[in-house]
Amino acid sequence: MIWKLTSAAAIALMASSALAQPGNGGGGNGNGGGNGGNRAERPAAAAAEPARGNGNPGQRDQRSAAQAIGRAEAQTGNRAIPGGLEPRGNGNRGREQQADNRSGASGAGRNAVERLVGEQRRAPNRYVFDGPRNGRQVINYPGSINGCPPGLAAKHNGCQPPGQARKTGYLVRDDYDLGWWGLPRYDGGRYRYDDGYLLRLGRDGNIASFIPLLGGALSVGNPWPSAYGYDQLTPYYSRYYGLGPVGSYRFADNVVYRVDPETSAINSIAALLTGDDFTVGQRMPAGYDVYNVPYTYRDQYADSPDASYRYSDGYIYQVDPQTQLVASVIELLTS
Amino acid sequence: MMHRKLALALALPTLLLAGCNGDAPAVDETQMELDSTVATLLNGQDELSTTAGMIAEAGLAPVLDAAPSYTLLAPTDTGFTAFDTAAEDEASGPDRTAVMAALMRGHLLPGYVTLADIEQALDASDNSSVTMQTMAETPLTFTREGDAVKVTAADGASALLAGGDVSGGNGVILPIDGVLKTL
Repeated sequence: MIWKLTSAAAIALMASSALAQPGNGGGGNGNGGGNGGNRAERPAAAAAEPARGNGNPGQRDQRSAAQAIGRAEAQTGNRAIPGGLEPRGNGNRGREQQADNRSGASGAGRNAVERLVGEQRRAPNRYVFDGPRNGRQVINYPGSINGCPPGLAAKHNGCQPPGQARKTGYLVRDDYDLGWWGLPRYDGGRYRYDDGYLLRLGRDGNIASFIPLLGGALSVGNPWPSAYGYDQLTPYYSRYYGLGPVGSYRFADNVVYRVDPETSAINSIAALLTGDDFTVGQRMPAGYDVYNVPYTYRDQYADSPDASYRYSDGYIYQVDPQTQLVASVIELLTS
Repeated sequence: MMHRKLALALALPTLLLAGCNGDAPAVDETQMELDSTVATLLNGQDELSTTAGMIAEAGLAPVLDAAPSYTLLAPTDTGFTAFDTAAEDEASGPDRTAVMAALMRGHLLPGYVTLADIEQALDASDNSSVTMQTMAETPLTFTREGDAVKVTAADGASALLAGGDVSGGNGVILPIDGVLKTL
């Protein structure tokens, strides 16, 4: 099945490619904008932010795509390439440049949103880059939510955990480390699974905090937990993953969910991100030993003795094969 | 200037990767259909029906049906048999889907990775071992096991790549003969 594209521009793209580039048909946009990978801006009081906008979950922001294509032609002198599948050569890499690494500056104020944090837990800081203007930003990983899940809270039992760990089917453990659930960046500790949540028990034996799980509490049809909050992705990510207006998605724990802007009900899971940070001038993160550039960019960004290329979360990174230092960040959408 | 014919499904030469332990590959030819998505192709693989079902039930099919690239290390049905088929039947509701999501995200790599890419990286590696990040934030390690490629998860679970890449326009399916997670 091919995802839906409805605009005239998009249809034109689809005429030559069923699998167009994310967001548009640009053939790769070199961007020396520094450390890529700014995935999210945490909106102030995110948890309390009302849903807004006229989101249209499931459809791409085609207007943006069409505009981006036009700008690409103007800025790079390159023909916008339908689907990015025509040979591209090196012509449109003119905008790729060595990024300046503006590390150190912290704009924490802009992103500093305190999510409800468990009593014994401090979310690890993750540094991301928000382009040359703003420098590095600090994003706190979301913490578990104080209190107990809605279902247990409704029982008015003082947030007492179930007497025994739920063991059924694949669930065979009394408690879990968070890495088992794909959440290793949370702090350590053991959590009990129950009904789509992980529960952290306090010293008194009651539930101190909880984490809603992908596929569990965070499943299609369920409302977004009002206390859980979420991150707001930067416009690039929003366009790359085709997310539409801010109110139409939620981003938490490296998962992007499409939601109904009015009801906040989860409509679908849109994307998974690694959350890895690539910083220009610094060593590439571990776990990228294998060439993984998406198919449509392989001609343009092929490994050579002078440069390696790796893909992560919507960007291609040029890496020095000898030093493993990240040399530049390449956006895959024109902007 | 070379044009790729997107509507054409290319059947590339058969690529056999019989493991040294004599396991027969579950899928024995490389398939490339650039006009299809990983989600679509997954549903058409006879030997990957359990993985396809888990991806769907976990709600991850839309992720593999969109333009951004992912590579799915897909346990074959036989590989799941060794895992625990009774457990799947027993689980239900959010218990079932939460576990499936946790399982499957650990089998997903960012980007477009073919078996040839992995072998090339192994050839270039000093210690014949390469790692790749997963969408569960835990790495997978690839090594050689005889003529085959072995993949090992952080918790020690391992499998052999069974051969037969299935490449779509937005990613790759790499069949494996086991599940990369310990219950």
